[in-house]
Amino acid sequence: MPRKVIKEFKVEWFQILDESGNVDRSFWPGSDPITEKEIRAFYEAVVLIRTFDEKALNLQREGRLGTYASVKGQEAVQVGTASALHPSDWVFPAFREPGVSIVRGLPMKMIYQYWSGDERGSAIPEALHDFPIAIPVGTHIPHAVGAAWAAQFKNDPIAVATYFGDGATSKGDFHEGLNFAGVFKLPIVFVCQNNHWAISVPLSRQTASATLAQKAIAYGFEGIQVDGNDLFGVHVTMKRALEKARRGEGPTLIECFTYRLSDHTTADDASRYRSSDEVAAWKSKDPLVRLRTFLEREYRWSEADEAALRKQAQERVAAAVHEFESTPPAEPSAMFDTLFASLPPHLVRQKEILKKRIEQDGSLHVKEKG
Amino acid sequence: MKKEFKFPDVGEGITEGEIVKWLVSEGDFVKEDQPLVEVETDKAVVSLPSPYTGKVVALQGKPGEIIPVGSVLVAIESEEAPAAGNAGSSASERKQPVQEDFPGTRKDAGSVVGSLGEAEEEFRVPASRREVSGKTEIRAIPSVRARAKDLGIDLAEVPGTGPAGRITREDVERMAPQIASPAAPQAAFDKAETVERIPFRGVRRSAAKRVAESSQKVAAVTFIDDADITFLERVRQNKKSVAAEKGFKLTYLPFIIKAVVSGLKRYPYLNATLDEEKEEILLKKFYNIGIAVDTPEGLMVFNVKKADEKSILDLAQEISLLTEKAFARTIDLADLKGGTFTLTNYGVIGGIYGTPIINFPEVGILGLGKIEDKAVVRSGEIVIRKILPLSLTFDHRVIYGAEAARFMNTVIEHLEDPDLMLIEGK
Amino acid sequence: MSKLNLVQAINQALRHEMERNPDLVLLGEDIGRDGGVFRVTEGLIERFGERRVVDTPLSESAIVGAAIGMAAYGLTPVVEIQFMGFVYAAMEQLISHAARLRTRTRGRYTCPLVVRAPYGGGIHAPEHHSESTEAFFVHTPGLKVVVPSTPAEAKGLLLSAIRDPDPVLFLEPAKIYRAIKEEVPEGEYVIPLGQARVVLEGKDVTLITWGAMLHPVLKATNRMAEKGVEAEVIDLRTLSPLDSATLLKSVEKTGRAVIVHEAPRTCGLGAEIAAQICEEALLFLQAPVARVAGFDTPIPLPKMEKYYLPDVDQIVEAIEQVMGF
Repeated sequence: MPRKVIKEFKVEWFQILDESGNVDRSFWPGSDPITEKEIRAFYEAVVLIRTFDEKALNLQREGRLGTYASVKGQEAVQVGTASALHPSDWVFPAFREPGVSIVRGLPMKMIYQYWSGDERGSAIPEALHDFPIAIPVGTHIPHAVGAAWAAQFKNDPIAVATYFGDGATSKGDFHEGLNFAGVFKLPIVFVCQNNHWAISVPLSRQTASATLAQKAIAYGFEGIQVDGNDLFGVHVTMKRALEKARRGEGPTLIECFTYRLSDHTTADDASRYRSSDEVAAWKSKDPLVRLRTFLEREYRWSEADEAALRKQAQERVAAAVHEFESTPPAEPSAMFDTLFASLPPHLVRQKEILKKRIEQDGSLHVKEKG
Repeated sequence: MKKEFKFPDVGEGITEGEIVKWLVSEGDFVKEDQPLVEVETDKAVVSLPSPYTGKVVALQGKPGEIIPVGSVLVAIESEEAPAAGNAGSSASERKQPVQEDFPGTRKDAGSVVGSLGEAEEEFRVPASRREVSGKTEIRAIPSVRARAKDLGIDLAEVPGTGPAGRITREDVERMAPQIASPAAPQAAFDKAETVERIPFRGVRRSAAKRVAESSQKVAAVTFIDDADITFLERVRQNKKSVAAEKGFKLTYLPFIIKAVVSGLKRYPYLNATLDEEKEEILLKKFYNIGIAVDTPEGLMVFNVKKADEKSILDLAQEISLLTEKAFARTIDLADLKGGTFTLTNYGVIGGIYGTPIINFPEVGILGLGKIEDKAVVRSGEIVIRKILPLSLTFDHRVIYGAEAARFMNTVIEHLEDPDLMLIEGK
Repeated sequence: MSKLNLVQAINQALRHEMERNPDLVLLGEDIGRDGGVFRVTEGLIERFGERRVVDTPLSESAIVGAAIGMAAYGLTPVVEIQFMGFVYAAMEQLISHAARLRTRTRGRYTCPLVVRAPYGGGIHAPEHHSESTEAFFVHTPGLKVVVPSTPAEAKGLLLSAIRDPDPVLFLEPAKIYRAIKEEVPEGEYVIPLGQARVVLEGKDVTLITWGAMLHPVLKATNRMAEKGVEAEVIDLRTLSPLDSATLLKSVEKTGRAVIVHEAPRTCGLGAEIAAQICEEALLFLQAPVARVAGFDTPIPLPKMEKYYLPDVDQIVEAIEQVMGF
């Protein structure tokens, strides 16, 4: 027989909570159920993130924040995955994961600081094993792989999670990183937020693959596609992948099928390249909506509960904004201080030049150059 | 506390907008993020939310008015407390999926990150300034320039002896004593009786400058030989009276000039100038022979123009005239300038051979020593001849030794056999 | 003490440091079982095992990127890039991340990474294997660049580089991997980064160079000594941060400088050095600062390579020119 099938692969789709807020009872509650307490906490988190995000957009419109990348529509992916992580796990985000950061415990003010152009927003607190935002697409994936490798080397019982979008799956570092992870069977979970758009490039132009999840197969491990707006499905999938990683069984690629409800960034105008019908269709799959519907049905979530939660979210966000805006500006000479462990002579001199220039200007704010 | 809300650049690089509609009125209480006003920027209408919670105390601008970015739109008497809840959210949409606000459509920002400033006016190159007349190029390395500056020396006054006329440090140092301040140490001469001070001025000074420049720049080589002018002397003696009748003396000079011109025609590099700037040797096709005279005021060099076109008698007359003028100090500047080769007749005073200094920027000078009867050997026998000693200093940068020797031979040839001048001469 | 060549000296340095630091991990293509294409890591996998001497897949970007992650996690990774010409695939990781990690996180995360690569021409290698583009990295704030010129220098410099808490690019001149032997002290010694070495003292002219070019420079100075010219020779050792103080002190003494590098002339490090000399020592100069450098062309293939690389004659000519200015 000239030809025979030597290997077959399959890619599975996973969903627990559908668009109408109904759970698949054949699965739910499952062997490792999500508790009511956890679900309420999930909802609290998604509402907080949505509030944070809307505030960020307003701040930008009011001239109080620079370019910002909104996370609207992707809250379930971020809360669902981040809530499955242990504090000792390491996280390597791309640039559209404020939800992950908030759940992990990064102060909201620091996220505002980052997007206002202040490096102090990336000075991640010691207790948090999260890397700061990575702007060059996909380039952080090898970092995550390296950290996973180091953890394995040191026999630390941790896992590493890294996040990226559909666009990143075209990038060399994605492939190189996944390959590396597969070869060395590293304790890492690759979370792909397939939000269907890379600025103006739709998924259909990004790849000819039927799914993004199947790209893992090429690198020797499992890829699974999950409804990204189904917080339960995401959470369960992530939990399982992390446990697998911790058991030493290697990496997983989770493709979270979701949608970017907002523009790419505040300086983008998505109406230039996509239809309002498409946006409307995905609006109806809004993760917050279905989760709230589930809460109303399962736990009699009320108007009063909703109002109280919203109020609380707004207060927390407002406090973060206040903290952010009352932080005094950093010394400009800080641009030198942490370039190296100890500053070489030419940089000491340059720092002095800057300090002198500022002194002459009489203030910390450099005059507008002509 | 009164706070002002200024029309922000909403990250799109706009510079102005038109107020379309106010969404609040003066006296209204507004919450943070509540839309205040609709502003049209290019194609789209943008709704601007309030950054503050408080009472609207003033609205600036009417619908239809164009407002620049940065101008105050609204003054709000604000409270410090954070906003207590977003009015429009959950109350109404009970049965439908919760609608959330989305960022409004806005015009093409022309960017995906940051904000691009928009052009306010057309870019124009500033009008060019008038050309400042440049100084002639002074070649000197920075440390030499610094030294000159320290000494208060203007580099334009310093002749450069380095490659391509570059001014060296030595050149500068050499100038320094010349421009010495009165504070130069005088200790040794304090007992002034033994010293007479002569002001270094006028002819003496300019002559000094000239010889200094010549010495520094020229690669001077002096070459000596003798001319047997026994026969020429007879010619001169015979014809002296012709000149005397016309009122002037017939000296050797006209003959020597003619002989020299013959030599210069044959060896044009001795009738030249080196243009160091352009790195060119200028071979002159005219023959203005300079004569150095010792006047009471000092050395003066006038030149006889177009010596090749004049007869010996003409030359004798002209020399006579010019010498008179020189002594009377009525000589024209034109007669002092434009020489191409010089003769210096120190022999009338004394001296046999010398090392005359080239009259810069010429490249050759012929010194004429004392004419004397000497014992010489001719065809194996000792005879007495009238000998004119010749000292030719030439600029070896321009002239090869062999060339100079040949030139000298030609001059001597013509002096020793004046008939040549007869048959060749124009 | 024993006489070692550059390969052996570097091997010794790596071995020494791996004994000392259990978190030191080597990564690269063919460095384990094959001992590295130049045998620099020979014997290390046998001694330290494959968890510490890792044969990686063929992915320069991921190798360097993973090393960044490892370094941030707390290991001391030393990456071998097989040839400088292949580091370009990892430029983004080096420039966008390694160089910036400490400063952009205000010190929260740091990157104590070493990337080693054979560099430079003169080994008759095929295309892309003779690159000398150190200027790209010197121009990147946040990176350090070190180039040893002899075996003893290499060992001391590599130990410093590995112990440096910031990312270091350690460029090993392939031309002298085996061509120079030198007494290399056993045991531990470090040569600090950021310090140039005055190899020879002299009063007439300062010769500034690094790496393989030190050797034709020294030959040129011998020739010039016969003509009565005493040259002072400085081996930079660290290209970034530059030891400007040593260079300037020398030029102030001699008043003449000749910089020799095989990298292309335009925007090579010679240009930066000449600019610094101009800024800081102008009044001491007796002649323009001369550069002997490669042409502004990609380094040619072996048949023409000798016309490209600076040689003793070119260096002598340059010295004569500045002396005769």
